[in-house]
Amino acid sequence: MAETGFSLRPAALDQDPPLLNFALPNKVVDLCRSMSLWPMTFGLACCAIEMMAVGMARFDVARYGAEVFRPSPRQSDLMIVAGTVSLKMAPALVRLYEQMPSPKWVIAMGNCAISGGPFAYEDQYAIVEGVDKLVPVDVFVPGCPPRPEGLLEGIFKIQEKVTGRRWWPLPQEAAA
Amino acid sequence: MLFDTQPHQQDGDFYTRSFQAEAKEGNLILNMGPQHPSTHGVLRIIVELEGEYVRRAEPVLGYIHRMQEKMGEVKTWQQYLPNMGRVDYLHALAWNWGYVGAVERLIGQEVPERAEFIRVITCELNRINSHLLWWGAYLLDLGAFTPIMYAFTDREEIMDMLQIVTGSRLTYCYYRIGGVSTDITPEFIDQLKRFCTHFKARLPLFRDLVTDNMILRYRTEDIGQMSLDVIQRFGATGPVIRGSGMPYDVRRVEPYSVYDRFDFDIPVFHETDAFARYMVRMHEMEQSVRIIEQALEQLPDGPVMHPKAPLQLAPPPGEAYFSVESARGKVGVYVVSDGGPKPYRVKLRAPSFSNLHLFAEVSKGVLLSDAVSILGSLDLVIPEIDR
Amino acid sequence: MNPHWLKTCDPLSLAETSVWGKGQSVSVLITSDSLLKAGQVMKDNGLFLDFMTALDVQEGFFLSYLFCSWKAPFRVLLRVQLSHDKPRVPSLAGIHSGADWHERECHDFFGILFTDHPNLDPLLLPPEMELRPLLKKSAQRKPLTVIMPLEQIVPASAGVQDRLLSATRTETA
Repeated sequence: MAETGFSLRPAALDQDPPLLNFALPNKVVDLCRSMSLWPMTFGLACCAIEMMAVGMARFDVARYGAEVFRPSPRQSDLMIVAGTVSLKMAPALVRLYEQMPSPKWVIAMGNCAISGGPFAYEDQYAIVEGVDKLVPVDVFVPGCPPRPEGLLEGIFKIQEKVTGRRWWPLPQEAAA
Repeated sequence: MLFDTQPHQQDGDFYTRSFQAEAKEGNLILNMGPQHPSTHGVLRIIVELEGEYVRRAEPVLGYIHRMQEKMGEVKTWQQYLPNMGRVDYLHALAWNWGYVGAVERLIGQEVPERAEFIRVITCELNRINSHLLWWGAYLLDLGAFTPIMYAFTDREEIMDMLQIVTGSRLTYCYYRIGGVSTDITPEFIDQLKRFCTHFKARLPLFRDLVTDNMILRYRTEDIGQMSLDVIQRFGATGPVIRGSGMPYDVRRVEPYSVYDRFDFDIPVFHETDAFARYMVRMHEMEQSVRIIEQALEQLPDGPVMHPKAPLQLAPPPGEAYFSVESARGKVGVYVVSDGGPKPYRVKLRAPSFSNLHLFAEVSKGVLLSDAVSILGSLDLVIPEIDR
Repeated sequence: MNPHWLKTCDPLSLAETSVWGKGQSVSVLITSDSLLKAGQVMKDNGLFLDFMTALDVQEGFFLSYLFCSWKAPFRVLLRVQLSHDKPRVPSLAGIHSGADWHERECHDFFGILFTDHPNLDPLLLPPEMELRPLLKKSAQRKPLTVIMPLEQIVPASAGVQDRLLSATRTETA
C-alpha cells in the first residue's frame, strides 16, 4: 500500500453492561435478540445489491427474523458492511458503529470488506484493506459479491454466536 | 459561562466549512449522506435550506473512490478486465464491452459475428436488469415499497439466465478480447424466449400498478425540469437527455457492433421533468426486449472467440477509445499503450459523473423532498462516479 | 458539417485519427493560450465536452479534451502540451459547465492548475491528502513521441494544415 500519511482511528470497544446480569434471563433475551436481528443498511458498493436481494421475495430473510433494515444506527444491532471502505469513508463507519447500542455485531460482507479484495493492489492508497482494522468483525462472508445464500449463512452464524447453537438445518440435512 | 453561544470553528469537516462560508444568515446546513438511504450508496450532498426549500446544494464525492484508473497502470491488459464488472455493477456488461472494445480497436482485433450477437443479447438483458432495479429503488425513495418486490422477482429470473452464460450473478466478466468466454446454451435460449414473452406481459402490469398512480404523478410531474441547454452544457447523456427531447443514443449516433441491423426506437420525451425520465426508461425496457428477440432470430452459427485472439497482450504504442450506451448513458473507455504489457493510462468516462454534476444546478429552489425525487430520477451508481 | 471552422481555433497542427470510432475524428493541437477560444468555437458549432484527461509523459503533461457532436459521429480532440514545472492551463468551466468536475479530478490526480476555476477543492481524494496518484515516477515516464503519432504532436506549417482540411470532408450533415 502506498504511503499516504493518513492515520486511521479504530472504533472504541467499550460496550454498555447489561441492565440485568443473570444467566437465565440473559439466555432468554439473547434468543429473542438472535431471532430478531435489526441490520443497518450499510450498503457501500456491489455487495449492497446482493444485500437487497436477500431482503426480497426469493431469499426472504424475513424467514429468519432479520428483515427490518434500519438506516439509523440507533435502531440497529447488526452492521452489515457490504462493500469497499475507502479512507474517506472510514471515519463515518467508525462513528456509526460507535452510535449503535450494545450488544452489537458486525458482518464483513464480501472480499473488499474482508481484505480489500480486488482493489488491494500495489500502489493502492484509497481504501482500508479489511474493515477489521476499524471495528471488531464477528462473521466474514467471502465472495465477490457473496451469493445471497452466503449472507443468509452469515446471519445464521451470528445467531449461533449469540445463542450458542445452530437453529437451522444444514442444506444436506434439509435435502435428505 | 454555562452555554457557549459562539459558533464552533471546528464544527464540521473541510467541505462543510467551505460550504458554510457562503451560507446566508439563519439558513440551515444539512448533510445528506454519506450514509443515507436516498442517496443510493455513499454519496454525500450538503444542502443549504431556507425553510423547506433548497437554496444551494453541493455533492461531495470520493467516499467509494477505489482508484480504478491507477489499477489499470499496475495490472496487465488481461488482468484489468475482471475489474470492469465492478465499475458499474448494475450494468456491468456495458463496461466489459467498453474496455474490451477499446483494446480490440487498439490491436485491430476482429470479433466473430456470433460473439457480437451474444454481446448484444446479454448487454440488453443486463440493461433491463439495471432499469428494473432503478425502477424499484426509485419508487422506494418516493415511498412505495411494493414495486421493488415485483422488480426483484423479474431481476432474479434475469440473473438466473445470465448466470448460465457468465457464471456470476452481478459482477460479470464475460466478454473477452476477441469474443466472449463461452457460447450460449440452448437452455439459455429457451429460457430467454420464455422470459421475453413473460416480460412483455409484465410491463403493462407495471404501468397499471405504478405509472398511472396519482401519487407517482404528483411526485414526478413538473419536478426537476432540466432544459436541454443546461444538459448539453454539462454533457449529460442517457435517459437524462432523452427525457429532455434530444434523441442522443450511442447505439444510434455512432452505431457499434451489430446494432445497425436491428429495428428499434430510441424513446424520447419532451417534458424535461422526472416523469419524462421515468417514461424513457420504461419504454427502453420494451425496446431492449425487441432487440433481444430480433437478435435471437438472426443469431448466426460459428465460433464465439476469434481463433487468433491473443492471450498475452502487448499492444503497439498508441491510443484508443470506445464508447457504448449503458443504462445510464455514454460509457467511454480511453486506453493508452506504450507497447508494454501494462496499459500506460486508462481513463474511464462514466455517465453518472456528468449526470450527477447537473444536480447542483437543477436542485436550486426546489423542495427538499423533491430533491430526493430528482436525485432518484438521475439513476446514479456511485462507484461509477468515484471510480 | 464542414470542419473548415476548425481553423478559427488557432491550431498548431491538425490530423485525422481513426482510433476514436466510426465517422470522423480530428485531432487539433493548440497552445494553452488559445484553449478558451477553441472551447468557445466548439460550443458555437454544437459540440459537447465528452471528457478531458491528462497523460504524464517525459515532455510534460499532454492534455486531451474530447468534444463530440450530438447528431453525427464527429469528434474533435483538443490537445494541449504543458511542462512539468508549471502546469497551468485556463479552465473551460465558464464555457462548458461539465468541464468543472473533469478539471477538478485532473487537479486531484495530476496537480495541474486550472486558472479561473470556480472551485478546485479535492473532488475524489480526501482533502488532507497530498498525494498525486497518477503522476509517474520519472523512470516510468515514456516519451510522447513513442506513444502518439508525430502528426498529432508536432506543429505543422499552414500549408500542410490547409491540405489536410481540404482532404477531410464529412458526408454528415
